[in-house]
Amino acid sequence: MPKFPYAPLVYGALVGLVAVGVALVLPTYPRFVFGQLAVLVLVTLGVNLLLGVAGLLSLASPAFVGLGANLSTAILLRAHVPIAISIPLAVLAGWCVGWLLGFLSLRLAGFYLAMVTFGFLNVFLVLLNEGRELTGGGYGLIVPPTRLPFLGPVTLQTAIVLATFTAGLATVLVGSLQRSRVGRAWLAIKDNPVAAELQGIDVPRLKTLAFAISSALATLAGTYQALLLGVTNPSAYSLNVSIAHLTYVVVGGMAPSVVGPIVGPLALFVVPELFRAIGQYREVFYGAILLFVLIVAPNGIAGAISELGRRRASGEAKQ
Amino acid sequence: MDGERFEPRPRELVEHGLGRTFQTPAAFLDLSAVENVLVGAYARGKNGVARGALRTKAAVAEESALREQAVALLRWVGFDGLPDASTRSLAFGAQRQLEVARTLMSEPRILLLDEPTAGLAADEVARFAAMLRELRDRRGVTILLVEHNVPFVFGLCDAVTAMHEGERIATGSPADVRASEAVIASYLGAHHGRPVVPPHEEVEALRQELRAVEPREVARGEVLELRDVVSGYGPTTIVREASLRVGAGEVIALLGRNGAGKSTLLNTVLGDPRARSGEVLFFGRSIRGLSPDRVVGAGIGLVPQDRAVIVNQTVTDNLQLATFGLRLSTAEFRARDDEMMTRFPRLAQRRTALAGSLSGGERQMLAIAKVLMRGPRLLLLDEPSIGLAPAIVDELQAIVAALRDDGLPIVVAEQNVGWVAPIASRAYLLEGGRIVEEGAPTRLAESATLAERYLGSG
Amino acid sequence: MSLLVGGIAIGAVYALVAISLTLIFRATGIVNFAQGEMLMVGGYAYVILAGSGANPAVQIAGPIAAGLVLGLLFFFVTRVLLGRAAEITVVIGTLAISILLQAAARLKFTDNPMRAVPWLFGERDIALGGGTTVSINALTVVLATVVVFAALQWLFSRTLYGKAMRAVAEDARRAAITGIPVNAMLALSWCVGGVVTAVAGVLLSPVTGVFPAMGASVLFPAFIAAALGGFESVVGALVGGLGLGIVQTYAVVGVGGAFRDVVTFAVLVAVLIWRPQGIFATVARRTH
Repeated sequence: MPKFPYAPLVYGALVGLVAVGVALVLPTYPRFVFGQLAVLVLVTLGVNLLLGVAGLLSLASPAFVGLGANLSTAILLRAHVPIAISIPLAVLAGWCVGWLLGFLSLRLAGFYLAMVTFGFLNVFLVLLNEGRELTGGGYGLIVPPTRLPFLGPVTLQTAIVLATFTAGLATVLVGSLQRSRVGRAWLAIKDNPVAAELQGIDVPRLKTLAFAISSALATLAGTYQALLLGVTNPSAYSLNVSIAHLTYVVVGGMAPSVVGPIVGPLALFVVPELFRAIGQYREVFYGAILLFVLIVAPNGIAGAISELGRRRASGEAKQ
Repeated sequence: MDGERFEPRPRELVEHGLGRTFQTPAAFLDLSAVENVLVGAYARGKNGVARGALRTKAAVAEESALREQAVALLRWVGFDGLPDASTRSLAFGAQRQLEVARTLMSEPRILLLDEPTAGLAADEVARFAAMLRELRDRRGVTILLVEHNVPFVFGLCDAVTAMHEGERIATGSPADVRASEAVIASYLGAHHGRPVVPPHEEVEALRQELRAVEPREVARGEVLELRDVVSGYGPTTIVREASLRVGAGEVIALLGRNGAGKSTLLNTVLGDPRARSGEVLFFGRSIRGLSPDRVVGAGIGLVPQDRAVIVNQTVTDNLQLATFGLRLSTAEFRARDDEMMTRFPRLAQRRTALAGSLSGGERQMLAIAKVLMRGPRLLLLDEPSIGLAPAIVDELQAIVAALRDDGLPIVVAEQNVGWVAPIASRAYLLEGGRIVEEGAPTRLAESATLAERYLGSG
Repeated sequence: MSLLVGGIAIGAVYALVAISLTLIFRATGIVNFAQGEMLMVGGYAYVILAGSGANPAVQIAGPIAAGLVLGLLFFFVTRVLLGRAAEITVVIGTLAISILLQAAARLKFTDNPMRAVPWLFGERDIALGGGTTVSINALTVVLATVVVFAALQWLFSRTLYGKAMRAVAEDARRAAITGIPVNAMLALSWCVGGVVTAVAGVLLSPVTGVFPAMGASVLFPAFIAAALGGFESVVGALVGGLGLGIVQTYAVVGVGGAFRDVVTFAVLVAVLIWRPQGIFATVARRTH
């Protein structure tokens, strides 16, 4: 990691700009898929931060995506403010709810945590369906036309640019965070909570923090998703979606990397989407891939490739 | 601490200058070597989420200063790998160095070490002792360590407290403690009232007496043979190239101080842990790699140190469980059950009691009865006399002698030499996982070297 | 009155699944997120056999066989294929099996519920005194639960295999040196859990119909019932399941059907606050 101050910000902006550049040269449909990829990368960064870095299994990620989509749209509809206000407000709410959920499940680990977050997701879905005008009930909400200062009306194009830039920036910042003092503390907790505490690490605070950041990222992704699709879709936040998010993370390696959260959605979402080869088999595909990777390559596809590379390198060294 | 009372909350203790290590080094495997050490500086650091993500000027400065310090510490503890090396691939000794460096990184004033030499080779132990001395003398760190390697302790420490079965039996300078009767007794086993090591004539008389009842031979030849067995748990190697033989009708004593590898050796025969290399032969057939229940099925019975009864079930149910897979008829089961009740009259009154409610002695009887229910061809006893009342210890000795007289080959791992010497035909002495001596138990027991080997030379 | 019986009937289904979860967790240390799919497969096995006009003995034997096979499958995946993986990985593995089985059912049978007639006695109500009626199926469910519970008690306290499974659950190492084949007993525990849950599927089929997500909707209440028993006590799971069924049924009348899950979640949070030590004691014992 380079030594000069604010390096991640500079590199993140560069990566974001490159991502925007790629999005702009793509034809219409692939560009739309690329925008969705950016949304998924944001979610997966957050889920990976929880599962792959802090070692916490949460099934609530779709609830936060849904929260972002619905809350930002509801704010636009009711308060008539620009998205420059609605999105930060929604993300703040996501942070707070995530912090609360993390606090609630502080003393839980492993499957109990999975259970409670699963319950939280169920409750969210009920509230979503019963929220009447606030959430549009079973029909969802239609995103109203909105403007951004300097950029003018928010079109699909603007939404894609925003999402891809944010995803690029977030990837570098999260990567930097994972290798900082806080990131090391998370990894220590994941490996051995007792030893971590004996090194002076405030385990409860760091777990809650991981939840809050992860939730904020998913909420942010949700706000972009609503802009991309133009509507909120109340049926898009089920347990199956949690499992899809887990699959991205597991395929990406469940480790403190930023390549994993890109490889996962790229391999499992974008490729099938571009070839439109999956259709009704999507869930079977995800389930099978997930189980296969857990059994055959527990370090994920990215991990398996780097392992292969290491073996080859050491093989060459021997010769 | 410093005259202040503390809630035992680890985080606060660390902030006030306490550091500790674990018996099995708890390296954080997802972190590189230097990152592991940096975790030790967590309480000293100030970089939060924003600083960590953005790498502000202050964050970069803190990070590089701490990293420099961490690399220096790694070198000081003798870590010779790359600072950025992955922790997963590190050898056991290196992991321990890493843990010490990590603990020192929090700049402790008091250092608690839990069995710091466990699993280290001899030269590593010497280097470790030198390091601790330097910590004490140069940096003024107070060190409190729990250790079974007595020579290491006596060579290093200013004050020693010896404990036996949860009670303090001696405190003082190393010389005082080494001379303490109670300490010698706890290591070598005082058989209440009698001297620590029975006088030669008494043992000889016993041996003559024992020879008079020559065990009837059930099977000819080798019962059990271990060849160069190596085993251990996780990254730790405990048994190193141990070889031994058990003949028909023999009682073999496995001697050696706490932590010498006696239990692990017996457990390896059972298949948990599995022998990493070497050969385990039972009546000439290899049983290496079989799961414990298959080894038990082959006719080896182990009574482990914790007695291994199923505590939530009754005495009768325990005996019944022990016949799993034998397909005994009710009549056969009853016959064996009756035999056990005659052998262990104490159990007869507790048939319907839950095993968890039994006294220590009753539990030990049940554990042996469980093994005998299967009609084993070899019995392994791990520290049978530990934690038992004197009367029971005598009773147990009689029971084991009776089993030997019935022709059952037995291996007894015991610290209490006085207990096992009279009934054993041969003994092996284990040290650091190796078999260092073999011979008649009395010769081993009386030899001056035994006390020396246990407690270190003066 | 019929409301109460209805609550007890749905609670009985929760209880059976919760008992299965508890048995499997005690033996293997695994909480199975695909337990609901075992119930779903039992439901489909029943509805197909019942539809083909097989006799009642076959109608119930089929789902039981399906539960056995699924139990073996889960044992194989979690013990043989994922035996060395961390707890979280195994939980994710069961989630993967869950989505696989559900999606497979969706491909084969679509999302439309298949109607099922109640086992053995058909669709009839019987009149109780005072003008109230109770569906005979609700009574069948309650009766079947009593029978299954009694059978489990007999199995675990009277038979050698049952005692051996308990011994393995208590301490696998001690059981092994006692001479008990640990893996076989673990497989058997999975099978018992599979069978009990498949029977729950048969019982639930006439109430909700048979559809791919039928098990998923039972899973969460069953988790909570099992948590009430600390994932340790079969009686706790039974009482927890019945209690939850009754509370939910009355809650539906009070606050409306959609908020059933909210009530359930509230119960979970209450359990966690009310007796966390009971729940965490188990977790702590497993991890240390």
